[in-house]
Amino acid sequence: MGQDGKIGQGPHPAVTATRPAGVVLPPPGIDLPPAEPDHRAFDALLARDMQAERRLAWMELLCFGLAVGGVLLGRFLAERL
Amino acid sequence: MNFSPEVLGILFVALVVLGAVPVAASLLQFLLVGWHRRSDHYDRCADYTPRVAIVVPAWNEGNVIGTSIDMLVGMDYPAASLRVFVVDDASTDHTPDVVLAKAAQYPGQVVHLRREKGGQGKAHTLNHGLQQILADDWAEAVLVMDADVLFEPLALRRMARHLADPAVGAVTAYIKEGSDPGNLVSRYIAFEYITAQAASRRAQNVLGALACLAGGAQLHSRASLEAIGGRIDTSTLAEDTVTTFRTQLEGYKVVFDGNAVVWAEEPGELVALWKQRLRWARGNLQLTSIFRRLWFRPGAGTRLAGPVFGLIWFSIVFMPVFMILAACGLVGLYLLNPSWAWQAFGGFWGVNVAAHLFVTFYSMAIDPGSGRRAWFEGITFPGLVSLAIMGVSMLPESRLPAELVAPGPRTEFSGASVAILLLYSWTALSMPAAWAVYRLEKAGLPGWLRDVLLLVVGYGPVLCAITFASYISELRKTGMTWDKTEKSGKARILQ
Repeated sequence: MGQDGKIGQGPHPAVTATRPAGVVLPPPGIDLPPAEPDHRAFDALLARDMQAERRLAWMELLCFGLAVGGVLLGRFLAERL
Repeated sequence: MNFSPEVLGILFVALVVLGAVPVAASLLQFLLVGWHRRSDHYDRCADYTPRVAIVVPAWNEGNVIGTSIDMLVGMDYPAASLRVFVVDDASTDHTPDVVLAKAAQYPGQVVHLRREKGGQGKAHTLNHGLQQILADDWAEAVLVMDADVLFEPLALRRMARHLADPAVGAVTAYIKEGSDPGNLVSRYIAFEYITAQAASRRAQNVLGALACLAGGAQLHSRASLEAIGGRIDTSTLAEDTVTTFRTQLEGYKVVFDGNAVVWAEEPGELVALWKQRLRWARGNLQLTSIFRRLWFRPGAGTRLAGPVFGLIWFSIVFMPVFMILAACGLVGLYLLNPSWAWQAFGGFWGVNVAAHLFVTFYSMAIDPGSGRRAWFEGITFPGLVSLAIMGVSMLPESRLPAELVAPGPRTEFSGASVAILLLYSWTALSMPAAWAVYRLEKAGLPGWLRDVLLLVVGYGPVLCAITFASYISELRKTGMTWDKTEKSGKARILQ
């Protein structure tokens, strides 16, 4: 496949529907609305990443303070020692 | 033409101030990082998983390609929406065998494309793959990567969510150095990548203009890729940067997602680093020329033309020039009036001390994992000589020998005078010193001695020296060859 420079379009594996353990199928004759995609994992990931970005804002203040403090301490030590 | 000492003094002080431009640009970028939550594009993201064609250029990547494919296929991404196209650039090692085995292991998901004539470089190899991928309407997005890059399971999902916004044309990830075992050079690179990617690219998100999509992890929407011709630029050594600029000039937004993490093996030797970075630096010079009508033109309709982005860009491209200007200014001031020189020296290096502390602390906070691994390299990034100079610059004038700071023109030179002249000109002298360490390594210097010298001279000066070398290569029109960085397959996901 592909040795001649062409895309080797192999057959896709058949998608096999499997039923997760604990899922009970509805009895025949009852129509359920189509399932909505579960976005909870995505939302949780996005919220985590947003939180990480928020953390950078206050870490910046902390690090800036440390840097200014470091310079002042250096100057103090250079004068006194 | 005779200038008064005052006029000459102002001229030399101006040179010193100009020399501080790269430090100021670096500080500005790090200050912008704190605003990133407002510009990180997360508010426009959605749970979007387009059909992604991953194009992997590979030339003699037999040691690394198998692991990369396994990790790509194993990502947390719908399997039916993922296809890996390995473009084998006429490899002479076992790359074809590995890829064909993986194609059999993951039928329909891994495709081996073979170029019988190779060696033209990464861009040509990518174009071979892109031509075939875009000829079919399956792909809704294309991920361009390097063969050795290891994707964290959620990296592609994190990148793809930005493409839910049609205004976004491309997304890039945070490439972390993952050599295991690493060494001093690779840990310097690990720390450098916090500053140059995790911090700098967040700042560029805030500015609304990204300098470069990382070559190892760039996700393009199909529409955006087709808008730039469906091809990667082959005329320069900076194909990633040219692609990034063209995408933005077509009106698409380009986003860096610092939480989408991939890992790569970077050079562990100065010789390999020099080869890689010389190519990047020459590419940046070529791009600066190609887009010469763009810079500092805020009315041009793109944030790339803004003054702050221009300042950041030119402070990198012309870093050695700024360093030489600072040294010229300080030496000139010393010859004119040593007292003025000491004041300017204290100011220049004082800004450097503040920037070094802030950048080092904040880098460790931005990426605590790499920060823990490379904290020593972060502290010693400028080199022990520069750190010592930072300490000396804090001394009050009264602590120095009178002859070094006495007002009036300098006419006689003692040993102390020569020493202080060396201090004043270190920003320029550090570059030939770094070049010497590189040459010594090339001549067979033992690794431990190379490390000692590198610590003394500093990693930052090495990068400056490479940029300076790129000027010479461009002036000499040295042949542009694609010097591939050798990969041994020792990269891991380290956290």
